Amino acid sequence: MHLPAGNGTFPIIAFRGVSARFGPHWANRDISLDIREGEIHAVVGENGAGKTTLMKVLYGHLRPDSGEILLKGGRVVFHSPRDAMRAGIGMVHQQLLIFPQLTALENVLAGFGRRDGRSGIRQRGQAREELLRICRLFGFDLPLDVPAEGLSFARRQQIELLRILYRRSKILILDEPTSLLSPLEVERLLDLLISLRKEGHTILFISHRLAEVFAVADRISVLRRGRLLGTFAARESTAKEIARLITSEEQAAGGAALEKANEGEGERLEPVLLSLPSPLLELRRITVADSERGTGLKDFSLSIREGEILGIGAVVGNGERVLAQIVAGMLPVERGEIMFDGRSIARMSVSARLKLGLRWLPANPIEEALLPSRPVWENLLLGRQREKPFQSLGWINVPRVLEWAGEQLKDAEVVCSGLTDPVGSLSGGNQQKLVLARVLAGPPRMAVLEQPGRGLDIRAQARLRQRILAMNEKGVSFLIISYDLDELLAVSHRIGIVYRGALAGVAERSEATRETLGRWMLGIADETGKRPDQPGADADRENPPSPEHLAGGEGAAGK
Amino acid sequence: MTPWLHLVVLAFSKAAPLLLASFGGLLSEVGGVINFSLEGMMLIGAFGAMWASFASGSPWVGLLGGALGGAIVGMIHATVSLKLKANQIVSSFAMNLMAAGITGTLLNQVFGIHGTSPAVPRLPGLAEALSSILPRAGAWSTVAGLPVLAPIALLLALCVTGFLRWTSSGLNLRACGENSLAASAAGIPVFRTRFLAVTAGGLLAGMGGAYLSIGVLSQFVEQMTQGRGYLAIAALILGRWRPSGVFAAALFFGVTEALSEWLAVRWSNLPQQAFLALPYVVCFIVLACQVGRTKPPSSLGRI
Amino acid sequence: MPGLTRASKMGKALKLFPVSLPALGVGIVCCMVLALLAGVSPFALFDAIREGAWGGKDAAAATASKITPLLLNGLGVAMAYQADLLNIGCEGQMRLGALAAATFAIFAGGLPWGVLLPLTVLVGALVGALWAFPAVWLKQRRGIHEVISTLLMNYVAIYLADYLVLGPLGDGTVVGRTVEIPSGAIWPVFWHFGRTGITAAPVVALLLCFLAGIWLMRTSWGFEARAAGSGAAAARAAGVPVDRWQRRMFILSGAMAGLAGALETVAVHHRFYRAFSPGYGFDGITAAFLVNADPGWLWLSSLLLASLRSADKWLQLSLGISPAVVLVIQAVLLLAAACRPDFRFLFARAFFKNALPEDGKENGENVAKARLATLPPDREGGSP
Repeated sequence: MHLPAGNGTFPIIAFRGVSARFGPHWANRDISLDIREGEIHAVVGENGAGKTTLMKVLYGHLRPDSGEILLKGGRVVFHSPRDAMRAGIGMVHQQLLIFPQLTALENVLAGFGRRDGRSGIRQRGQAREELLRICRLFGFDLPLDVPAEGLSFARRQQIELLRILYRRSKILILDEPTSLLSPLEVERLLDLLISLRKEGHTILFISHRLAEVFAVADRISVLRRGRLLGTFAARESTAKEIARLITSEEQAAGGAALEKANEGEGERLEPVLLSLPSPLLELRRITVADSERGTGLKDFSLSIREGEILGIGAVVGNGERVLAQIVAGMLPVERGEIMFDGRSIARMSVSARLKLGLRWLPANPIEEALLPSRPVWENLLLGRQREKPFQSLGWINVPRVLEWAGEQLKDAEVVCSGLTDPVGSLSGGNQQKLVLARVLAGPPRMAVLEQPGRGLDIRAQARLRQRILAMNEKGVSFLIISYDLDELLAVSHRIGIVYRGALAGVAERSEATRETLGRWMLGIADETGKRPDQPGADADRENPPSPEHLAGGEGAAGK
Repeated sequence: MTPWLHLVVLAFSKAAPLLLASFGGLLSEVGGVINFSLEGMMLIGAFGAMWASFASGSPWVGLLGGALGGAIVGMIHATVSLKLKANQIVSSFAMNLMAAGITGTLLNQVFGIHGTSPAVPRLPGLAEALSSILPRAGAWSTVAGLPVLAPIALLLALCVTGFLRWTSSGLNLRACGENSLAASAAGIPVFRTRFLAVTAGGLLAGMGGAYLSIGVLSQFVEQMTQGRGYLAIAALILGRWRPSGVFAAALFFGVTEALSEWLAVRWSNLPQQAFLALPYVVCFIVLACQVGRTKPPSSLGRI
Repeated sequence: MPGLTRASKMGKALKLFPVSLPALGVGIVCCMVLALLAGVSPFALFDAIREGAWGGKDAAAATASKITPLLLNGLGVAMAYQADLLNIGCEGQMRLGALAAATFAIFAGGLPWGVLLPLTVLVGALVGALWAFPAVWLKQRRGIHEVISTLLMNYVAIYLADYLVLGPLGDGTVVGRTVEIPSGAIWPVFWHFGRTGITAAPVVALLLCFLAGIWLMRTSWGFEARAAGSGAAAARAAGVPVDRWQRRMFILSGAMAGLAGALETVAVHHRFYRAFSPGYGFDGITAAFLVNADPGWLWLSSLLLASLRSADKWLQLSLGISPAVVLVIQAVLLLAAACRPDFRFLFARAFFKNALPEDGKENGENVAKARLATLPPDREGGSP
């Protein structure tokens, strides 16, 4: 048996030579890793490094192709998450697994209860007591009887946490828990992790955000391309060192720039004004009602000059998606006006806006931008099927399309085995690159990009940022909407924050700090500090706000 | 007074098979499996009930046979849809086709005739079943004529409601219908749960079919379900997949059918087809006039 | 890995046929088993079908003319399905189309042949289209699934046609038929084959099918229609008028069914009979899904179904089994065809775990891909 170095703490979980493969692609290669009891162990690496795969192996979602897992010294084989749960392991997934139309209470109770108990009518009363106790203990402000689909992202994450705490899981796995939380919510989550450690839980924390990792982790394991590079004590390393480890393979190909990209810096930008300072895109007092799709916009005004890159940040569910959709033409505007290049476009169809050169990258490419069952080339053609070189008199010139498609894919470094493969067979990162290629080809006059860097590894993100800057130099304007402040800080000329359907503030990049932006994201005004009617901004740990208060405050957000 | 009572009893009698079928469909759809094959389940249930009753001489065995027939259809639908990942609507449709074919074939093979089976023992009416308890006189005789299966249908509907709302298995089933990935991550055996639910649903729908053949009549007629299975699905949609809503919708359709029959006699100068078509027309209009969009279980139809 | 290459090569070859050939194979085996259970040898069954459908001039002519309604109804269902809509109401649309065609021909009898015949056929198609429209309207305005609305309208159509033909539009007898249509509306027999001969109607149907296939696959309008069906949200985001295309395809679908009915009236029966359809509308659904709604292969499934339909009486006479057996065969084949061509996953599983050429697999099953069927927009996402 592998003897752990250091202070002789017995590893509660040990991975021994774990490998997992998807077809020809090795997601995990021969990983041997010890997790000590009672520690917060961070697993870091860029997108595609294999972190999630490793956790899925531990949790029973996947079976390893070779290697084994030891729990408290004994070999275990998990055939499904149920086995892992029985062994005391719980996982909070990156894409939250909740039941939309069930209430929070039902969400937690669904599945096997504690010690495989029943959740029938008698047990529900007891369960409710227990859940309220846990909520009070850890400061969750979760209303138990509201259907989950009406709750914000942070609350739904609390549901998953509640579920694993209720089942007395001693080992908790959290997969990228902070990527969609506002800075304050991130702080609360990190405090929660520390409390949980105090209570004796062991925590496996996956993240690609090193600042957070260093705030709470005891030890850090670095994965790169499926392999474990090493495990390091947090006290004995720095963020720079770890970042270098994550990306060091690309040293030869301009690693310095990539390091900078990883740390959130970019090239210094100066706005390039090609024409009159009059705005290219102007939103005047736009009002869109709240709906299933999320908080609407209230009296929203915004303007973007030609050649400008405007970044918009927000917490999920504050109207940022609606903003993108009304500019793109997917949602009608109730009141207000949208001017593009001096013309009113509020009543224009999507195809008319495309003709004007206004393009849109949706937040969820698989559902909103791709036809999963259709081949790659058709997906690239989508939107251009009536353009001249690709068709004449309605007849599609397939060889021409294939040629053009091949070029686009090569430029975008999309990896796929054939143009005729269904696009659903591409990896998430490649799909993102494909849609980006489609949106940015042309080039457009102005591109509205929602979370453009999602799913891309460090190198691809750096390339994307370079491409955006290069296009911007040639006069293309951008509206970039993202939950990742680093992404916005790297390329924007100005950054604005949307909160509850209104623009909470806009700052030049030189003046925008994470603190300021973070405060805006939660609606905290600069001068007066916290406002009294902001639920969640300053939640009292001992007395969580009442459910009605909360339901009113964050009703339709998060959809 | 008496004509109204007649109508009420008739409505209840018409609603009972719909109640059974729609609650059977509810079990399936709440778990996430689209079930358009209620029509086929009812038809096979009707035939199975007739056959079992014929073979055994006891209508109760017939009821069992009908339930079993429906359950078998459910099992096939579940397997094909869930394990073999078939398009659930096409699979449902195929089951309906299969039911029509098998009942026609077996009617010919086993009984040597086309169209209508010979008379078989039928389920007792309420009066015979509870002859010691119910008084015979007056208005009660109308009620007493109800097939005993009718109140049983009511009871079963209530059982399904209680199951879904209060038991842990019911909660697990609803979870499967909301998000199957999350359900399996929560430790619920998704396939098994759905399979059992669809089978149980088929069992209920089969009983609904048995009601038609040996509850009201005492024989099987080819294609005797006449679209009731689809009305049951419409009840699901109208009832927004909630037990209380489905209950109300099924009763409403029962009333419509009863009314059509009743009016057909009163207003015999109008064409007969108008009354035959009335339940479907009313159903269509009610569906069209709904306020707001319908929202099925979040994971309905997806694996 | 040798096993992987074998599987993926096999997978690529199997993709030529629109449904899973292994699945169909299993279906055929099931049919054989059922035949044995019924006390009949599968080969005798096959022979009887062949005999009953194609075993003589009269039979062959009848089977060939059955191809028309089956093909057109199948095409209707297929066109609607390309836009991700299910038109289950072809039976009703067809019947009303047939009745409308007969009625129009009778009332407009004075017109010359070159005008009356095409108009009659068009009227039938139009009525079919009109009867289909409410279902797609309800779907778009109220979210009611078109399967339910078309089914309900089916029943209403059947009763309506019955009433009309037994009443005001009929010939007064209890048979349930109209008077014969004037000669100006009769489609002449093209080839005198047996007693009845065949008209050019099946050829026209095949041609329509072929043209529809080309239109779908090779033109930009067909591209848009298919995009509307395979990813409505993505198509909308790319500027495709999804709602409009859905309406167009669904109305077209109804028109095909109506056309089928009109052709039956003008080419086969020369009047409207109440019982003229043994269920062609429903068979159209089977025909479409046997080939996964691919217009290029509809001819094969229509041929199969026409043969089955033609042979059912002969099956009774020669083998003593009920004509309803044909429905069972159809159902088994349909079930088999409906199974997604993922049989190779089952084979692959035997060789190695988790391993499939695409990403995102969970325990050997493509849960991620299966979720792609239809997903709601606006899901939260972090990195995948």
